[in-house]
Amino acid sequence: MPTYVETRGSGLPDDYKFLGGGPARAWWYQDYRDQTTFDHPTVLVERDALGWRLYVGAIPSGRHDPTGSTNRITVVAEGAQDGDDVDREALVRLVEVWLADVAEQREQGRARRALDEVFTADVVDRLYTDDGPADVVRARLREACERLGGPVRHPQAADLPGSWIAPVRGRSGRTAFVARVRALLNGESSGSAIFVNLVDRADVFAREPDDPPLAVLVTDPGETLELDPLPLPTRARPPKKAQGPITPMSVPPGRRRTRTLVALVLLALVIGLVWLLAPEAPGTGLAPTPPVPARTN
Amino acid sequence: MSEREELPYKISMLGPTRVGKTSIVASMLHGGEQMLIGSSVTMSAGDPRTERLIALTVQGLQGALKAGAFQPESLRQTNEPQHFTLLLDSGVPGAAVRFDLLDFPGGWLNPITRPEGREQDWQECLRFIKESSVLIVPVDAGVLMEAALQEYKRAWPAILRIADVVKVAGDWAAGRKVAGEDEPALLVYCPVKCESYFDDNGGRIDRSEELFRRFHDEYGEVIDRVRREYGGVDQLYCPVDTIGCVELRSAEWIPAGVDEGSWRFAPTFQLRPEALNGNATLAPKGVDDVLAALCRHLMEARQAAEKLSAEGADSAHDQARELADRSEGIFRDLVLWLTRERARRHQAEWEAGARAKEVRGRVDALDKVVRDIADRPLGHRARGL
Repeated sequence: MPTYVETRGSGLPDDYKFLGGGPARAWWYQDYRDQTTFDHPTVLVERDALGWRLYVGAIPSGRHDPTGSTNRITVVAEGAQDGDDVDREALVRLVEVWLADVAEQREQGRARRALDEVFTADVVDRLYTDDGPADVVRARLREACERLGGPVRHPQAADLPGSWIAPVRGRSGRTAFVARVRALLNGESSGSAIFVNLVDRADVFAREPDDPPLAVLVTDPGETLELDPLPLPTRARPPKKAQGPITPMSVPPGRRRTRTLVALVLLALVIGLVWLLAPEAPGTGLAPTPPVPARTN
Repeated sequence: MSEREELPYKISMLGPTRVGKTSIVASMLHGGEQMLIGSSVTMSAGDPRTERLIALTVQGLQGALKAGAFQPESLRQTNEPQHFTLLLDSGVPGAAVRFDLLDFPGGWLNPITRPEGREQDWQECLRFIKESSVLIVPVDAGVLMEAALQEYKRAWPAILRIADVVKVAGDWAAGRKVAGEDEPALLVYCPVKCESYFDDNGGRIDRSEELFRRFHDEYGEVIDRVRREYGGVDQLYCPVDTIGCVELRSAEWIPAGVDEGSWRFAPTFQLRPEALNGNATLAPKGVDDVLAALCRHLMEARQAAEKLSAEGADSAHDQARELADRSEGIFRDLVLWLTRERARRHQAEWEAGARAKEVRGRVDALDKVVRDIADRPLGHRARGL
């Protein structure tokens, strides 16, 4: 199972990069950039015909650059549709712990501690400079996830059906979200589960009837959402043949034809009347010819 | 298009990693309300997404000042390209200017440090830059001012990515030439983290002349290349403080890698004593000049577009009037009357007239806004190049 870790070293000009190489395509940026900023906590999990993909982003570390700015860690994992991967439950655990850290606003959260213990400053600087190897990065990620402990099975840890939205601060939404992530990674469900930070209005995520299910967690800083998940609204399909509004300026063609025909008939009648009633003008030949008297022999 | 018509422009930020590009955007919006006082122009986030994005960035800047200390761990480095949608409202109904601003990771400028698998995203960024009306080039003032030794100065091109900036800015200027004279073309060089080099925002020493001289020595190549490509580009120098109440505490130069002459600049900042005593708050300075320049160019561009639109509306009105009044012979006129086509033509003429009048009114109102902005002098920090 390809897993990738993105962070940066302790040098000032170091940009974020995947240690030992990253995924072939930055699907998270292409598909979710309008809904989340990747500098802040984000979780994206999706499954379709091609397989599953997971992005867990902006986990702070205890490492800093020389100016004191915090270095963050992002974990990306991808798998084939029917791949038999043993690490999926560890990734579910990472999502669960990271969401709890975010919800409870823990500065030194459990996800950060587990990753810091494995990805120390020396290790990261070495992996960053040497660009890998990828196997070492994956082994260390696995070790960090193991430090998070086994999965916590809440009695009510059931996924909610369909598409819904909830604030990350609500426990019921987080529990259902983690259950959905587990179902997506294990192939028991398709669709997506996303925790995003730039939008939180339910109508932004409105679904069409045939869309795959979507579970959404949002930051909701204004606390406008109820704590428990709410179904996402369904967007009505536009009618196949949209009929434009009829304005005084646009008369339907059929009615226009009828009007024109009536006008032409009236016009013909008027011309006929004028022709019949007009006085005879000499030399025009337009006046009716007087009747010729009968000739008798 | 909505009731308030908006024309989109594009603005790109072009600078190395960690220079403070995102902070400039946040300062522009955070201080934008005050900077445009006295004019009818206001600036705001163009959509809820940008509003949240700006709030998060400002929160980070403010977080760095919490508890009477400067704690830069709250400042986040961009690891993905970021789009901001901003709105300049002229105060004239229907004449707002929407612009999209792209902030991308500075490391992407360098093909060596650009991450694998991001070529498509980089090409998208380059397309955006090429189509941009305005280019903002942030410059790390500390790198220029704290290089006491010649060997540090020799590291400038590598740290400031001068060659990449020359190429991208040159290509952009060439593209602006093709776009034509009616399109705005503004390049703003923004030395950032200038708190310790000016004495007009709480600083004690004025080293602004030295900063400009060093900037010009190093970026002269960029200025010349842009001028060669297209003389119509307006180039401005606008040094800014994005935080305001901090002072450079130390400036360390660290050997970077095994290459000889390769250095990293590692500054640390601290709160000024007066900020330590009271509540430290953000006090950006100089961003008003960037905003004023943006306003002037974009409003002028909007005005030019409106003038074209007004000409089009007048022409459409003339055509509608000619059609409404045209005589087409007694029988055809009778048919037009009977089918109510004549009435429809008069109605269309009336509507075209109303539209032309509305656009003309907007042009006149925009004229006044543009004159007001043009009359506002740039601050003493800013210079034309």
